[in-house]
Amino acid sequence: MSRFKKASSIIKAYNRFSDIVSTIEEYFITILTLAFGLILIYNLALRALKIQGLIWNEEFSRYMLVITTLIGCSIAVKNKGHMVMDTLVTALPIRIGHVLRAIGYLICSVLYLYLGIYAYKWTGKLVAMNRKSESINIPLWPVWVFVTYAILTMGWRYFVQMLKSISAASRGEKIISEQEAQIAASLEEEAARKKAIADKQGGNVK
Amino acid sequence: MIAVALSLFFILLIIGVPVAHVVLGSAAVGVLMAGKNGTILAQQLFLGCDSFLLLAVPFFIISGDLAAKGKTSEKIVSSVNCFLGRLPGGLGIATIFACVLFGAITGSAIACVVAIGTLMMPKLLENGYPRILVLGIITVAGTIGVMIPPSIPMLQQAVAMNISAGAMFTAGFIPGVMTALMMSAYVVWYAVKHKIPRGEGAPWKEKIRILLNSFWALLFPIIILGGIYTGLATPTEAAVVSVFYVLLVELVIYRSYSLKQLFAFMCKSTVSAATLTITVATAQVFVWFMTTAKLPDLIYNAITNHISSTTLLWVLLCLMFLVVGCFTNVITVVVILGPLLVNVLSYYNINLIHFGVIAIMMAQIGFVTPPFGLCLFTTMKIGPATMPEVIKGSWGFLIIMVLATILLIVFPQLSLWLPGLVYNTGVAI
Repeated sequence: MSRFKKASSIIKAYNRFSDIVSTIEEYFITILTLAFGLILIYNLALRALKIQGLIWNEEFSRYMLVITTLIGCSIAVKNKGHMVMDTLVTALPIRIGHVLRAIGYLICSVLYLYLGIYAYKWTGKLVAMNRKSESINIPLWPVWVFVTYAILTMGWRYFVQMLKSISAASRGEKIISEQEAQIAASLEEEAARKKAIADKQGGNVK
Repeated sequence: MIAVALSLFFILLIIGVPVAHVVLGSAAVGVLMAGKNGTILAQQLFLGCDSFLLLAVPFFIISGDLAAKGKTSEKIVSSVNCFLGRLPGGLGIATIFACVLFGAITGSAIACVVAIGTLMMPKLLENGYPRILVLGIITVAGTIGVMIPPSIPMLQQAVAMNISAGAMFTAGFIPGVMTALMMSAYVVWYAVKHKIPRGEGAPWKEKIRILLNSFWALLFPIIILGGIYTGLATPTEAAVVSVFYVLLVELVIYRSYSLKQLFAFMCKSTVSAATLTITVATAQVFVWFMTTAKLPDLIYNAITNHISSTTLLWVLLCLMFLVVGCFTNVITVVVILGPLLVNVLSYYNINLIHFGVIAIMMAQIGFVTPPFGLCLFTTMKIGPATMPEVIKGSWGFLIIMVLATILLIVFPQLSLWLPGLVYNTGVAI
């Protein structure tokens, strides 16, 4: 019993830690996206005024996209936000469906952990070669540090999802298809939006 | 090597591995079989995301999401309704054109169905529209959004197939409006046949008041598309402008949400944008691998040896998209398959932009075809309605969409005339 309690408290602590990490990641990529949005607007304004823009703007915006995409994808693993074709998984008996999902997660986990190792090695090579960005004399390896981090965390998050699927299979939990989840989320958001507007209008009336 | 990678592709897809990882996984196995290591894959993944044009995707998604969560949808509906409400089936037509305008802002079918559908469904039912017709209108009208520029699927295709995003956006305009007009004609016919009561017309004073009230929401597509078409901004810059414009409108003018809510919405949108961007990036890795393995040549030889006419190729492509659309998103498949088909399309003198428009049209059809059409399920939820009810309501519109597709195939000018005019390149771009 005490072993069970210990395991459960470890899982709780991990979930709390994982939530904090993904919140920090979400804030980071959103702020990074907004910051580069502002830089792009600034450059657009300079161009409209026929003034030479920032030369590093385009190159670093692309790097920003690489970083935000990969970190965003890693977060999406946790939220089950990736697009899947789960026709077979949802059609099969619940336990088999979960096992099939777990296999899929395991494959993704192995793939990204494998890629992460090579991304790490490549980052090391970039440091050794002292490779610089094209537009300004800045080392390229920090970008790859984020790439490696995102790929490795993606692999790890798929591993966790696999464990969750196995646990769901053992409990015989209902499988929610990606489509159902997507629609439910959209409807929830719409209800929240209407509520927020109604609350605001109520507040204004008061 | 190709056979193993392709077999793995289908196996992974069927067992429910996310589509983005399916393509990367099968390319990885192919690369390993060719005796290379993972470094090249990591580099290709990096290169797949490393595109300035692709940067437009997250910004358009953020602006679309923010507009959908604000008051823009309501403003659009009220302004469209005050002008079209008096026609036979006017409220239905207003719903369709509200989706056209809203689609220009969000570029998402599901957002359109949810935002406009939840708003218009009670009004349509209250005004005596048969439930079956209402379900049909809500389901199909939302799909027009992906054809009306700026559209995320069009951007994805432009990046994947290396074609001008601006030209692609322009190409979708006539087909989108044409489909909306054809659907409206069907609604008018249905309204006259079933004697659906007409709405009351608003006096001009009221119309002007509503228009002024919706001014900022209606200006949104004009600013974005105007920027692209006049050459003042690239699609990426236009996407960035759209984010800051929607922030200004929803936060300062309409005051739809607080800063805290806004940041939470943006966090969600950024993550959801990443999942779309990665699909294009991993598809590029897959295409790179398949190109090094000379798959495009094999496809080229197989198709040109067995298919004698362009018409037959179109029929086969459309059938394939139709089947694919029943189970998954057509655009994802086009992003993967399109670049491999470039040589074939050029052999049959098919313009890439024309191909892109037809693919989007088939994606629209895919959104409403059973058993897994996304809009079908969304309407079932917001109805609430059963699948047979929604299918029954959508049938007429589905036939119209098929007719529109045939028209677009037979008359490529419908897609190519406007980009030729705007970009001054003649019909063939």
